[in-house]
Amino acid sequence: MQEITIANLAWRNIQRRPFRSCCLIIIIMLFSATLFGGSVLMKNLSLGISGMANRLGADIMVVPYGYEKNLEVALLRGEPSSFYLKADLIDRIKVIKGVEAVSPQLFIASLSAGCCTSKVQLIGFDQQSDFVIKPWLQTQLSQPLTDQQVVVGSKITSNVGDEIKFFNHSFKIAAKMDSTGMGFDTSVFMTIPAAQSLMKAANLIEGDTDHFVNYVSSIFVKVDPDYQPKDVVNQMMPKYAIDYNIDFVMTKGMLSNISKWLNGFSTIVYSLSAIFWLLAIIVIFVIFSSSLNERKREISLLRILGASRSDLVKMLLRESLIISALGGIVGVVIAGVLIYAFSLLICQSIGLPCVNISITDGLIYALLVFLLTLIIGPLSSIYSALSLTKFDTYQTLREGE
Amino acid sequence: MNMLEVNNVSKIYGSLHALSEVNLTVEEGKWLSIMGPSGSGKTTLMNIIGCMDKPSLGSVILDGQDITQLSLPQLTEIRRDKIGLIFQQFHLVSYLTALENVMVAQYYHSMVDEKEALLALERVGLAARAKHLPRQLSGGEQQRVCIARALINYPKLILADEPTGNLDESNEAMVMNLLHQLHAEGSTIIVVTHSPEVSKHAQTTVVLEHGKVASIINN
Repeated sequence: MQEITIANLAWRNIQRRPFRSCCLIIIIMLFSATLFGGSVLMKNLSLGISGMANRLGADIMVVPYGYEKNLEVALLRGEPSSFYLKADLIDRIKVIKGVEAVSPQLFIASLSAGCCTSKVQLIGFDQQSDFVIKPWLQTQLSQPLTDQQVVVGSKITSNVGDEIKFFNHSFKIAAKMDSTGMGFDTSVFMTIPAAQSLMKAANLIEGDTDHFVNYVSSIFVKVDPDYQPKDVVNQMMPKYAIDYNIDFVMTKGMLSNISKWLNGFSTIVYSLSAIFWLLAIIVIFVIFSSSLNERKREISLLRILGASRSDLVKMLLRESLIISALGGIVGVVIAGVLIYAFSLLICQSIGLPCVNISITDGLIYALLVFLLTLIIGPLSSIYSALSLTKFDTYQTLREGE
Repeated sequence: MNMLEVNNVSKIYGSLHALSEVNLTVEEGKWLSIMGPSGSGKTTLMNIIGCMDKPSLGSVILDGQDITQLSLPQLTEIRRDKIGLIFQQFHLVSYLTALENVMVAQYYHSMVDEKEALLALERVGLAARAKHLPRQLSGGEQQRVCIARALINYPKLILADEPTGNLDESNEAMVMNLLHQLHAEGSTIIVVTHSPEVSKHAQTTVVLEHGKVASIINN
């Protein structure tokens, strides 16, 4: 059964002028995809960063001099790295005023493992003093980790109970971590003695192979809330920086650099979206205006057949609304699929932690972008719609005859 | 009863008198031709009779109602309800099928009835072409769709502007035949034409020259 309404007159016009309609839809799609994709990616990044800030727990990280970047990339991207400093520094830091807790970690870059297609970061952590790993565990360990057990990051494909091999040592997976959006997702955690025995097997430290117990890679320091991390660093630096050849990574400093980068990135994304938005409005305005002559006769004819001016304005606005809606939906869906599939890859490639936003937040973003997209069509066609309906009807119809 | 009374109608554009004191009367059920060369005021008169323009002076009574006193939206209503228009260039909506072109006139008049629209197309011999777009139809077929659209709302007056101007002889005969059928069923028909052949089909021919009625011929 055929129907004629303002809505399906508009729809038939779109459907039966496919080239023009597709061009308009693509322009609007570019806008909505950029805005939606960019916004979700930024949200993923900022969630990753804030999650990291909230849950990393440490205010200061002590690393061997020259290895600050290695720690950052190990934490942010999970790029495996091995570096060492002497472990007796732990006791010295513990007694510094303002230090609330200290926990060492030992980093080993694995050569390969049955679980992974690439090298993973092996991290030995001290279970008694740890305040970094525990908050990320999906379920608490019922018993302390033995030297034959490991905890794996969320992106390690093996499951709890599986066996995993590093440097010819087999370990049983005792627990799996929550997604952190950081390098921890591709890391494997074990006791410090287990890590030390792996170090020995891997022959990672030359000339001091019998004294692995004396080395850690990084010391995580939690500062008393009444003290500033920089004051604690100021106490440590003159005493130990030269003797131990160490440097200090301030979590806030590291994250504020990332935040600055993120602000720059968001400026680019929103600027690009604004440009596409304006471009879409201008292009649709130009196309609608240029089709003025082509459509003058059609509009005049409909007026002669009895359509009121408001009927015709409604029809033209409906037409641009449908184009906007289609462009908006296609853009959001395409960007959504791409972001879902490649968000973590993108974050990894730019070296930042990120966590996928919740479905609810994603839907809210999609709705907001869709609403913003919907405005484009009517906004850019209202002038043309009003002009088109002003003409002297029969004269216009006979123009050029 | 008179379907149309044109009383002392003038249409003035600046110093140009497109129509000067035109008088004519058309009884209900009659067929009138308005003939004249280009620039004689035929189209201006058709615009005024068809409620698409207003005269500068004079009055036009259509089906008992003085349409010169009406506002533009009221004129739209009269045009929609009482007049069926047939054009030389057919003027079909390019993105609608033949059937939809007929239905769109129903839509703006009252309500859409697909069966009735199909019957109208059947009447002009185009039921089989109902789903075709205008570009898929010949000139004669397009004109027949235009006629189906004009008669779909049972107008009291059929106003045709050079209805055969773009058609070959066989299509012209077919269209004139359709107009004869409508006339035989009681429709009032006014045909604007420059063709003496077409004007002969009418009962009365009004000849316009320089905006004035030059002669009235009873055929």
